[in-house]
Amino acid sequence: MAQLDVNRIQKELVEIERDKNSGVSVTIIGGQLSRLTGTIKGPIGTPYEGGIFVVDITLTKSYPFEPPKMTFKTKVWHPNVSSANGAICLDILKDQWSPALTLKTALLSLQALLSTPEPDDPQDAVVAQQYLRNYQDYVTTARNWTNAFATGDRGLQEKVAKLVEMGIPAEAAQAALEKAGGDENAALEVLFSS
Amino acid sequence: MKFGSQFQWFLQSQISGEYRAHCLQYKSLKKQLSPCRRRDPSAPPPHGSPSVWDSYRPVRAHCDSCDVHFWSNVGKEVKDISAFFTKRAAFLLQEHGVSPVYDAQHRWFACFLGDGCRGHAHEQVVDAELAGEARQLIQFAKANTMALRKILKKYDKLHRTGAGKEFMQRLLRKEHGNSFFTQRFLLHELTALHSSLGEEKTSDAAIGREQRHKCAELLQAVRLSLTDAGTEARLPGPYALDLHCSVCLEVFVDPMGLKCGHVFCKSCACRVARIHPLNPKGLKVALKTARCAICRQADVYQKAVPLPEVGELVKKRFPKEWKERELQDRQILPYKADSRLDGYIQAPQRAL
Repeated sequence: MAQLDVNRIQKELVEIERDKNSGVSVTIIGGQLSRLTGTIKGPIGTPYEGGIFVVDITLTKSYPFEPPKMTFKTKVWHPNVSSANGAICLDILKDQWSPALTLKTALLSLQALLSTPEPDDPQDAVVAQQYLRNYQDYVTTARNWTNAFATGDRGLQEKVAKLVEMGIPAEAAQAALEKAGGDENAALEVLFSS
Repeated sequence: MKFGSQFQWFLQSQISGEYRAHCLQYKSLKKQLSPCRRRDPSAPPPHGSPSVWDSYRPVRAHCDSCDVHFWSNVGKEVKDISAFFTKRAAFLLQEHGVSPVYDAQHRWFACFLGDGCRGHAHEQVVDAELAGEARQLIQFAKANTMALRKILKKYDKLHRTGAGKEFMQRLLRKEHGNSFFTQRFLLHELTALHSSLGEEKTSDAAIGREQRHKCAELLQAVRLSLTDAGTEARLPGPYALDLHCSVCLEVFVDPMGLKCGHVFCKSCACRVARIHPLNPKGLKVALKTARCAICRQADVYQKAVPLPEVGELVKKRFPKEWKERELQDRQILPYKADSRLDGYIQAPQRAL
């Protein structure tokens, strides 16, 4: 347990590489196997459809006997994901982890979490409240956030460019868009009300 | 084809006389259900007078006409088959000589066979025979499992109760000790023995294609019937052997079978249970709270058994991978008294 289990991690990476249809991928950051980035496709038929979500993965030296640390790098509007820092509330990433699970299965579980939120065991209380009390609003916000943050840089950049054309500084435009959950009109409101 | 005749055909063509004598008496058990079989199936069952809706619900009521002989006979048959299977399997494994576990119990068998004086040429013949026998025994276990499920299902269908299902579940929970189909490790070991002696090719060539197809069909049904009984958790997968450990993702080195039926490398199982892999006491010091990595069942480590035949098969089939994996195990830091610092459990200290 003294050092990173390189063999197993490499095996896992090869397996993920081979199965291209799974909708998840993992890449290494900076040559070190302990820092990885995963991506998952937003499940079809959910407000996250069409988005690609980036997950930050950190492996400890005791992996796979301890769970990998995963947080969303992409901003996600979801009851079990912190909208502020991307922290994830999922049992298999905590006490229910088992060494027979892999990075791939963990990422697939995250994908499943996106399609079936657990508002009764929330990470983000605000989102969970909205999910329970005003489901339609939740769907709209989640979709806006997906369009704004998870469709690659293109979506956001386009919107920023539009606002810049209107004469708003790029930085302010981006901040307003993030605040408004990617909705252009809402961002304008934010900008002009301040 | 009806199952009864299918089973009969299977026994006649695939199972040799000695084994056949020990098989489930499907026909005679079916006969014991005849009082109810002759009844009009649309008529309500003889016990009680359930309402229209009640009849769909499994009522564990008893049937006076069938129960007298049926249950005691089924129980007896299961016990007989299990005893025969265990004895035979232990004998075969001992004969092959890779499994020291079974030696102590069944050493007396060796007296009859003069183990030590086998010549090389002779050995090959014996190996082929052994493999054939192993195959027979596996088929035997599978066919009997199938027949047992069928007859219990028949009972349930006739009486509209869940009694048959309950009986099966009780067997799976090993309430009456191990049955032939809960002896997963013996099956694992037999399969490994059979594959490692390379009998597969010759025997498959001997059986015609059509026959092979028919066998496969019957055996496939075993798998289905076992899973549809809601027993999936207890019977992980069919009897097929995957030779890869799901913890290290490599081939098994020193495979160990846990109580729940899942197999891991010894060092992997140790690590999951937080025991130093070189701890001389091995998995015996595992805590009861340690869970299987696959099914999460608790208290499965203490009674883990080594599966040497499976280990041998790995060595034979994946020599390169096995060597690489074994090398990893050799790099494990030696067991120290303060390994606890790495998060391992200690062997219990002797009282001073």
